[in-house]
Amino acid sequence: MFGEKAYILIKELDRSRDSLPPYNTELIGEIGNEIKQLIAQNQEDAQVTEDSHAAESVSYIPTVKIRHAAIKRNVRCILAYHYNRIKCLKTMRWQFGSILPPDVKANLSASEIEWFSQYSNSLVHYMRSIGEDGINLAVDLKPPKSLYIEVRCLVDYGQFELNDGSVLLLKRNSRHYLPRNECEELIRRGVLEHVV
Amino acid sequence: MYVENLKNDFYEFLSGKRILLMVHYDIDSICACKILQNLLKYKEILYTLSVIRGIDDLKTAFQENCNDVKYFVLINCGGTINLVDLFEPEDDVIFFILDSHRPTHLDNIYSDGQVRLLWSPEEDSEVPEFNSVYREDSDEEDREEGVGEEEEDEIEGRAAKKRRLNEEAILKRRERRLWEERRFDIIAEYSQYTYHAKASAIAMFHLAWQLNKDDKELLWLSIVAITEQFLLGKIENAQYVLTTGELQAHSNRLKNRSNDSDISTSLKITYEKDLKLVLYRHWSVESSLKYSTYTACKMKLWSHRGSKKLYELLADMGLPLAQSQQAFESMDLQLRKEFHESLEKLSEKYNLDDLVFASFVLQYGYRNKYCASDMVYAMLAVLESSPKENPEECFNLALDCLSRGKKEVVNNAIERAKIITKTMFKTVQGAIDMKQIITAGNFIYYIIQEGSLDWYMFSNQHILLLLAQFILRAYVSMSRNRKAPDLPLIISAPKNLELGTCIILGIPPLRQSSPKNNLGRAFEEAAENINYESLSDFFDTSYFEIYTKDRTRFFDALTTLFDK
Repeated sequence: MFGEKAYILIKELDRSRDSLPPYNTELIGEIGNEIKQLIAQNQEDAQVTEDSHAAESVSYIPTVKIRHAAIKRNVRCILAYHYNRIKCLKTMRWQFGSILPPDVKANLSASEIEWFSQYSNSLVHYMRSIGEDGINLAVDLKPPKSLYIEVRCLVDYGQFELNDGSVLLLKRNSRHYLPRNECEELIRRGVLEHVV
Repeated sequence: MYVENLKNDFYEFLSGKRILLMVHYDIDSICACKILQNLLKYKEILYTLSVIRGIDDLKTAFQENCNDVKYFVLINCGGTINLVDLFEPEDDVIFFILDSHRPTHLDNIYSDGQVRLLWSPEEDSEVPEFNSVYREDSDEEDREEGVGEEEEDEIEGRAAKKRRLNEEAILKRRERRLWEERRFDIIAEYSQYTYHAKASAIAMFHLAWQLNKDDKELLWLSIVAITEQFLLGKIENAQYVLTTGELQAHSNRLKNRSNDSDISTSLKITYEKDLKLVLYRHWSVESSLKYSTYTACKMKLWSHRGSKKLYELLADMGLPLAQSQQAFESMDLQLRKEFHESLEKLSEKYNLDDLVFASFVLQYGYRNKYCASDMVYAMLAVLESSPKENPEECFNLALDCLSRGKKEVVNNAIERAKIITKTMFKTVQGAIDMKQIITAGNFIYYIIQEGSLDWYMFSNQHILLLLAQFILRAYVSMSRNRKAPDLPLIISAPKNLELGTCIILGIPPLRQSSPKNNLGRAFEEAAENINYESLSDFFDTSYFEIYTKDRTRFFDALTTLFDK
């Protein structure tokens, strides 16, 4: 059936919403082959239709139309696949910064890695151009409501030093009231939890 | 040292500094802590919270943090013990204490600035004078003077001088001994009765009021705190009525007529007459009447005759049996509205005089209506009824309970509270039927054995207190002994099966209307008499902890002590 492999490709991406599955080069290759095959078949049939004259006018137009629809479907699926992966990479850049964790990197294709580094570069270039020496926009993805927040510690972390030198002891289930910028890092790592 | 002006000497003083909040594990301190947290946010005071269950926890928390923090705020803990001796802090460490346990330790009152008490001196009654308790050591000086004089003297007058100096020394020593004995008596008299003062949450609410940062949420927290003190019998009726009058004035002041008209978003606190029935709005009428301490003891509902009386009462009220066994919210609207009045009218006939008391009801949104005592029982259930969760998690859950967003927490807690009330009733029923409440001369006692069902529910302070009061009332109502209302009750429950310890609580007799409790002193003396090292680390000395195998010896010592 035409378009089945494309369906499998999309299903695979849909199954793992939070993380990127490995770039499925072979399936893409197979779909590419299918497209080429369909195009070749279409060209043949179109030629035949052209060549046939009034006497035995044979029209393969409907077949050609079906194959064309299948080709368009496959192309659309491939485009969607690539676009969604890139979107995922974009959110990861904002979350993790310009260095990707190695397990994510292993799942990317070469062109995706190249795209990522170029995107990182443009982002850094832009962030440096605003303000005097640039603002890191990736720090607060949501606008902060207050300078200080109340947090609860989820694991036994031990000593933690604040910017002004004072040292805290972070024990499991202890609650603290700290400046937001100091806690952001630990919240992202899962050591602290923001209490509303 | 007392801090009278909380705003300047406490709040402004701590502005911009880092503090450690040490909060005791009970409802009043949780409410006070929440109010204080709200206030600290305005001054950007960074704090760390630690939960304290006893003296050991206090020590650990201090030692872990003493290198980093210089200012400690203790809520409902530490007022009755000598902090400077316990912690041995450095000189620039300052402790602020807000404790409702009394009597306050004399060293804390007369401390010269390291320990600061956040209430006014009038709230500490009968504090002995400074000179009768402390005195400078002048003995050394006399002896030195005596030696110096001897050296200067000539040899002939030496014998005469020596005699005179010896006499002076003997007189001084005698005077000092008398002074010390008097001091011992004064301190013993001062610290023999333990009781509670006004809730800490109310002091915090006053501070919020002074700073003009009070609102209905904080008022609700102080209402819950004072209701807890009343329900657990920690304060007298008169004091409760006075304080609720004051809180009602606040609630009138904080009413906002324009906002309150929109029910779905506003928070309303109304001052209403409430019944002493446990959780009746969330339970069925029959269960609530049957399992509440007050009604159960007045009508003796554990006996067969009692249950017949209960049905009589329901019939008199005009409440069909089927309706009374349904949940309160699903009863007929008419019956629900008339429930209060019909019960009040019949209160004289069934000897239920004090059934009604004044309390507050919180209403927000269309479905959420909780009265203050509901909240108290729910929080008790959260804090004390599960054997597996560790204290910090329960503490966090209790804080969630008070914030209005987490309705499921409150509902789960109310379900657990119902189970606890039922279990208490069944325990009392069993105790009375099997005559397990034993009189031992001048006191009564009851022991919860390790093997009994649900023992773990009673191994915590407040539920044990509720059970003790239930048992005492039930015993007095059933007993033919004329002395029964004058006997205090001592109850023992297993605390920690691995270590083999049990917790002992003593409560004053029923006839004594004030909750002043001198059983703590009795426990200490009994322990001294049998040379027993006490394991107790509770702040409230009416609780005691011993090994289960020594329990019989301890009770014997208590019996001899009480017989004197």
